[in-house]
Amino acid sequence: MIQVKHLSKSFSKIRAVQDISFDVKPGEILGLLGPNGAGKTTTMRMLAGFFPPSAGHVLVDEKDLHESPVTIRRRIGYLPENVPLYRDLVTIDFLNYVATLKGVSRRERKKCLGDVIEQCGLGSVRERIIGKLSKGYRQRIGLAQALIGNPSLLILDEPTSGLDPKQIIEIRQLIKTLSANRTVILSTHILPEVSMICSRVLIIHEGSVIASGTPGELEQQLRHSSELAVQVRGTAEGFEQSVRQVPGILAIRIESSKGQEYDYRIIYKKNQDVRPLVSRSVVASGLELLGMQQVSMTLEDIFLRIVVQEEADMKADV
Amino acid sequence: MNALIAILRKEINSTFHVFSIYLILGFFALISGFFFFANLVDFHAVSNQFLDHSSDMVSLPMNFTQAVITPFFMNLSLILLLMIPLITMKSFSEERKLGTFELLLTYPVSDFQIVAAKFLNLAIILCLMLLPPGILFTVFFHVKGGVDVAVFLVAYVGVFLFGFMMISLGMLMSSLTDSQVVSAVATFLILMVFWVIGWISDWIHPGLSRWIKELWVVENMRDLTRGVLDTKHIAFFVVTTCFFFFMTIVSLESRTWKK
Repeated sequence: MIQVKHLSKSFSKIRAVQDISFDVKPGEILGLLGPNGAGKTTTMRMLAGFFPPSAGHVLVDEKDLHESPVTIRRRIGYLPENVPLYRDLVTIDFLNYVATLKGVSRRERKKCLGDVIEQCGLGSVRERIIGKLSKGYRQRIGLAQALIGNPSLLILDEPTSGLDPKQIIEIRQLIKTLSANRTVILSTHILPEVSMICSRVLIIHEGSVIASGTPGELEQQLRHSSELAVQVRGTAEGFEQSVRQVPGILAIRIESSKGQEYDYRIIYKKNQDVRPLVSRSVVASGLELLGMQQVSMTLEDIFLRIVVQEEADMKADV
Repeated sequence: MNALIAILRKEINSTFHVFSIYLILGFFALISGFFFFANLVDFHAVSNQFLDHSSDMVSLPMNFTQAVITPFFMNLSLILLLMIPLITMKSFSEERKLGTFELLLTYPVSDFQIVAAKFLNLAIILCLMLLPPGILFTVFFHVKGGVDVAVFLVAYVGVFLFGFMMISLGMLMSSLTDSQVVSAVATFLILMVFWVIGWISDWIHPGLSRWIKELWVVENMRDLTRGVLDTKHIAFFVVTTCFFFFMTIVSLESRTWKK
């Protein structure tokens, strides 16, 4: 559906995006994840055809976007960051305007607008002036304008930014529904969003892709160590010492304590099950074992770890 | 074509949604009415002096074209020069600032269609501005019998041509900046240069001076407002309008240049 090959973009001396490549298949939701200023918006703008890359190609259905932009833009629905809209227009007039610009014929327009209004839940505000609507509704109008003309590729730049939690849930649900028969590329700096709605993730940092895969794969790939939460009761002297002697253990620390109950976090090497040895140490230290669970690492931990690791590597190179 | 009409309709809708456009139109109608009557009253006074056999006292020209049409349209041009930057400043700067420019440029629409639609919208505003003087003269000629109708028509066409040139320039300036103020000031300054450039023609090399006079708006307008229909003047306005129009398209396209 969409192939991105060695995409780079420079603005005078600043290299905003450097050699990004990826493919997205129909029905997939690809999330571009990265801190602010990572190059997400620049990438999205190139994908939407707003400006061409300094180097590389964007192929939509095997046709170069920047060689025949007007034709290919018909297949793309784009929602820019901050949802720019004509605030003095009435919702339905604006959507009608977009439909004409996107070349939706007069005959099909009524049905097309009806569908989009229903999908985005805009029925109650179709006759209202856009500037007077809440941010949630404006976001929906932004999505609606992207959906007009039934594009096979949706590019959504920070689709949930600035919304309240209820609106965020609604918009996420909407995006999931929309991905049923089209490709969606969205950018975000909110981590849970990616694990919730994206089937694949690219982590971008300082203009380059530093990791990619499904949220699960990323966790698997990038988890060098695992964490164990252990709850014990008793006098804990000597316990830490004995656990440290277990092969594969990297660190142990007290997370919290209440009276004689202690909550420990034990960090151990990936792919090594240390639970039997740890439980033996608990018993050998004369403690009562109250519980033991593996702590799963969130995408947030992975993201932070990657970004921090990258920065450390860069400093080391310098 | 549909896209061009859609953008034009949206532009018209947005233009007449804002109160300031009515202020501009109203003020321009008032001021053009004032100039018309002031010139006419002067001419009337001079005519009466002439009829009272005191022709040696007459200081103003005794010709309707010279006494009314030429000064009226020269004044009108100067007022337009002050007001056109105010109507063109929004055209692209506002969209750039709001971010809707990004949206517009990612729709399947050509840059020519966008520029043409915005130009037509501004041309409609210009027509509305120039409508009251047109009506005034038509009524006047109807009542008095118009010996100078042809002169008036040439002058009227001239002021339209100058207006189109200013619109084109204003659009170009607006396409270059997010700030409406910067756009208006830049348009005004460049128009002022076009208005005063002829003043230096006496001090410089005659070869260069001849070219500068060709670019002098006042020189081009002066002949047209006298009723002199010279292709040289028409060509000046048509060429400059097309040039600025084309440069606006180039300015939009410049985002697609690989840097």
